[in-house]
Amino acid sequence: MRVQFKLNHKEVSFNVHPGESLFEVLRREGNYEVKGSNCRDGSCGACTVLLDGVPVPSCTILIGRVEGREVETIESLGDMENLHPLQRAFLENGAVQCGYCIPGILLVAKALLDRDPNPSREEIEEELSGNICRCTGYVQQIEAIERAAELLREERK
Amino acid sequence: MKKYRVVGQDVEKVDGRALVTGQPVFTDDFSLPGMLYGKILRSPYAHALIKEINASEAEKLKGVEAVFTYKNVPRKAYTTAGQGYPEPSPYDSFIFDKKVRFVGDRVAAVFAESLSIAEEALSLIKVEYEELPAILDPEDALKDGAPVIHDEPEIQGAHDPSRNIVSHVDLEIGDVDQALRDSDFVVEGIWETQYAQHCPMEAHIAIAYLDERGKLVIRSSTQVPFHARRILSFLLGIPISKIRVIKPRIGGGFGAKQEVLIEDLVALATLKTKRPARLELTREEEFVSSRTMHPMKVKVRLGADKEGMLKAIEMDILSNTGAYGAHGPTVFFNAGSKTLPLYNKAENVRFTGNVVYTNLPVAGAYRGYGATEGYFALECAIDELARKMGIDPLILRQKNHIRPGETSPIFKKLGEGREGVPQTVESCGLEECIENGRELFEWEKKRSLPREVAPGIYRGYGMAIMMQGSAIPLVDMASATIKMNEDGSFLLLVGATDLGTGSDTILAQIACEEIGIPVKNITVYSSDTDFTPFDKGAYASSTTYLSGEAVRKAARKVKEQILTVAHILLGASGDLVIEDGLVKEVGTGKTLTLEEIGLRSFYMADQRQIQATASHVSEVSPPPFAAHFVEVEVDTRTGKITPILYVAAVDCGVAVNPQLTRGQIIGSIVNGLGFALSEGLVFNTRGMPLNPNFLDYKVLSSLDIPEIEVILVETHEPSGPFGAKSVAEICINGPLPAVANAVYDALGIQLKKAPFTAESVLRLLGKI
Amino acid sequence: MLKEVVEFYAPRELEEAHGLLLKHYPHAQLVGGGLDLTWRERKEARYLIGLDHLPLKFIKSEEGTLEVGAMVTIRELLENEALENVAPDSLKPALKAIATPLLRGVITVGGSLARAYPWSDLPALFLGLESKIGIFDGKYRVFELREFYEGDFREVLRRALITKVLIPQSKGRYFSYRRFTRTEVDIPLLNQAVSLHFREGKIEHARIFLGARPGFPLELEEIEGLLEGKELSEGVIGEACAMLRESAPVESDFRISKEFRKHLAGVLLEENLREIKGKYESSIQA
Repeated sequence: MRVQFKLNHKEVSFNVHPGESLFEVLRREGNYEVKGSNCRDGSCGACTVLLDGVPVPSCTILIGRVEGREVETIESLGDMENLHPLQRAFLENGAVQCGYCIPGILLVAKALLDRDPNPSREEIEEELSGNICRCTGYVQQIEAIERAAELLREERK
Repeated sequence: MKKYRVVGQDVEKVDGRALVTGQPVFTDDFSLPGMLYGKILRSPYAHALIKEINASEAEKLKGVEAVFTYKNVPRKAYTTAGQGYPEPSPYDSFIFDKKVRFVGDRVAAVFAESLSIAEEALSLIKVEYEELPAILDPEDALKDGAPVIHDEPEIQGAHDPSRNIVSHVDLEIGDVDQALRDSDFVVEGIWETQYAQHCPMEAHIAIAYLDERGKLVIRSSTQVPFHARRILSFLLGIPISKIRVIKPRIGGGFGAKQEVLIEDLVALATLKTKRPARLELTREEEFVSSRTMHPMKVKVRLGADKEGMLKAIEMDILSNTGAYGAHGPTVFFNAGSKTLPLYNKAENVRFTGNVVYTNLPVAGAYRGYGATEGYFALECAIDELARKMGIDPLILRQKNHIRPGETSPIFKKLGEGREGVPQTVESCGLEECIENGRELFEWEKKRSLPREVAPGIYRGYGMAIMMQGSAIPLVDMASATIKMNEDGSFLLLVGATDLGTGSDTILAQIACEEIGIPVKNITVYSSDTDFTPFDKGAYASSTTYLSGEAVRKAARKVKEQILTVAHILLGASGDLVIEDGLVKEVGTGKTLTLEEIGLRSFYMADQRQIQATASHVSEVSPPPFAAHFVEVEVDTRTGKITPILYVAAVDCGVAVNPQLTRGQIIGSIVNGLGFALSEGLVFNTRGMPLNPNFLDYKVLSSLDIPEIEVILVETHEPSGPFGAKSVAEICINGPLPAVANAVYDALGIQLKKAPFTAESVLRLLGKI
Repeated sequence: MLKEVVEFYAPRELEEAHGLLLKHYPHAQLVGGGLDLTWRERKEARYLIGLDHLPLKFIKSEEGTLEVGAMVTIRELLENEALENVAPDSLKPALKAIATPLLRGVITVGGSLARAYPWSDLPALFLGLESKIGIFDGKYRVFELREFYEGDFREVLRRALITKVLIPQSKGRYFSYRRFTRTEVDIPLLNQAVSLHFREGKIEHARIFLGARPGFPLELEEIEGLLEGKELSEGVIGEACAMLRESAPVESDFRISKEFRKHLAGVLLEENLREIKGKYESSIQA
């Protein structure tokens, strides 16, 4: 079957098998910025994308559900030359080690800051709790999200 | 202490931008036309003979390009452990064997046009098994008449396979029995660790293809590209010159990828079909069939005199290496060699034990590498001794721990599955670690507070001290190449294997510090066996210390070459320095850009490539040190333990990049807290794992972590690059004993079996 | 990838969806969030019927009842202010403890009730809240959730769609929910939902469900009987907890033992009853 949706603000259309997940389609179509840990149950968060602005593990979303909707991957945040404040804060705060969980975590953080520009530490910890990071122990990521919130608030001023 | 310009700075991770923007940098972020997809058929039995295996239906399935079983692959005993050569691990593995030795063992592999076809083909392979009695408890492995797991004639390097013993040690310094008899205080106990798994977010994955020369190229998520190449060459009978291993970015390893677990299969598929082949472990396979931590039972006896001086330490270990012995001997040795020297005041030390085979998943290298298991026992026993003596366990530790300028006979007696190397500890900030940690934690104040903070809710305060090593002395070698371009930029080529730790950044900082340039002027490449010089890989806390020194040496040579040219160009006779990428003559202030030097060298006069390669082997393995303090809360109604505050004071020499150092420390503590609180594979009575997934194997989330404070106690290690030692492993050793000691402090119960589940707490409290 | 799937439908009308369900019986599979399907592939599922475009994403308060459409995710439910009218201060934290923030954006109310994993939170929660369930099997029907689950609901749902759950916003009801987990993000190893209605200081009516036993939630009628007609005193709480610790209908699994579950059943009951006692007493004072 054919499925059409918006991917990082561009209309795309792919031939898919109806039993595929959004994750499988994105990877097959070369969207390697979406990483996967093979957990297959959405419990690791690595493959997170924003589906109509809501962070979801793309491995749990059947592709048929995506028709006509809007998908954002880490590509929508910023590129190497123009980093999003979240990406900058992650680098400046040592919040990245192997980096495999990072695209998912950044998207979760983006959705959080879009909703609440000044989240408490507890809210950040809560919102991050569906993304496993085996390297950092989370502390520097939580600090980086706090820092990014600051940067974004300054930008808005 | 000397002030550095680049070393000691929080330089941005050199691969950071690529990672935060999701660039295609990992093994799988890459596809080749015509690529085949592999799947492995796994044993449903813990111990069985394959009486018959018939793959003809699978081979006939449309889209199946290759099926491998023991019938059509070379039979050679080898070890999957990626270690220096000759490996201290036994040669007890085969690509496929007629026998399966644990649930999840390899039976066959299929490569097909798609993953679905490969999966379907697996179901078409007919296997007839003859089930054998299995050993599911390491205690049973040693019993008379126990099934023999490795009865193959080819096995080499195992201590006594007929008794399931991989490694055995009986080492004594002094007279432990006499010293224990003479001691005023003696304690003893047995502490037990679980089947823990590394859980790298990226599962093991490898892609093989043939290049235009017909060379076999393997792109692999490996910590040991050079060892992988060597092992593959041996196993497949093809020369080293025909194999190239590329390590792109790695999505975490923690030791699980210090093994050659899938590269052989993609290589076989590509050699057979001439097509690219890809194989990735599923998460379940990652849990069950990759590698785990060594579950150990560690018995410790301590004896001390009235003054609180340790007289004797005895450590006896039963280590379960699972179905194959990869890293079995060395992890076991390290449980002693990385722990016993910490208390070098004890003159009588005994280290004994066995590493045994069982029909359970294969244990391997895991961050901490045996020291984690050893410290759980040793540091809990120290607390027990302090209680018996009625003194503060912090003071007991202060009286007995090793100090700068001191040594321990253990350094020489226990090495990597063999004798070690004698050494004197040059840098040791352990005193300051204990002191600074104690102060920040408010140890005495907290320990004087009432433990019951609300009805049924108790707080407790515990600590542990620890050391590790930095690299494997007189075994492992690292090398590095630095080249200068005509614009004054540099390339750093290292076989050292950044697996997320930040070592590319650390090594860039070391190179730049030595040459005198900013980090933006250097590009780091790691690792490619055809284009980067040899390095043992990422393990044994080696990269900063060992690879770093190789980089520093190469940088020094490059700098000398630059200065030679500069002397000529400046017509200078005096001292020249390189600062921020400019060559300056001391005194005259005359300067020269590196670009001018580069252009001249390439095109104008005395033409040559400015470049150097250097290698490094260390004669010592200087230990980093740490003191950990933890505050826990225990709910005595549910038994649940919640860590509240964790303070880690760490001496890793000079921290090359304090921010990345802090990341290593926090990351390893949180992993260690997982060991203490929740992680562990559970098996049924047939040896089948019941929780090989994140739903039921509980790694900690952002909601489970305590407040964590890191104190860097800087010392200067004379043998390390710019005074650096290692830091990646040491702190994973702290949480098990520190949390157990804190829970004792709260409730007076001794947790001796990890993980410390709520149920185990309630059982000790007698509530269930 | 779900290899067996041959078609994905995206019907716009409930009737159309229901027609497809019948047409492709027994190979039809409704897809709410779809998590259950991607996670545990069902070989018999060949025709997927996506429910995203059906008018099942609503939350409305009507005549003292909160109606939650089957396609509402837990995340959406959590963001709705009306929750606080149902069970002030207790429903929100209960929902927030479910799965992970990411999965809460995927799991739908209908999907969770239909799949009814024994350790699932939503069935226990909604049972405890004395909810009704709306289904469409050609006709719109509403059942007491408790009765629905007592019947052969899995068979019913092969030919019917869940449309909504109806939660009574009973004024006199006091509700509390507890779950025991290994880490903060975990499936419950035991959960318990308690609703108490008071009249003149006494418990008029009690509804207590114990789930993740590890079996499907069971109503604790014995404990309810003990509580009903009594004041919620410390003595009564103690008595109820002691009785439950003895009699809790629980078993062992590889996660925890039967003995531990029994103990926990009492602990959860104590916490639930204490919370309700506190709320009730402060409401009386107010």
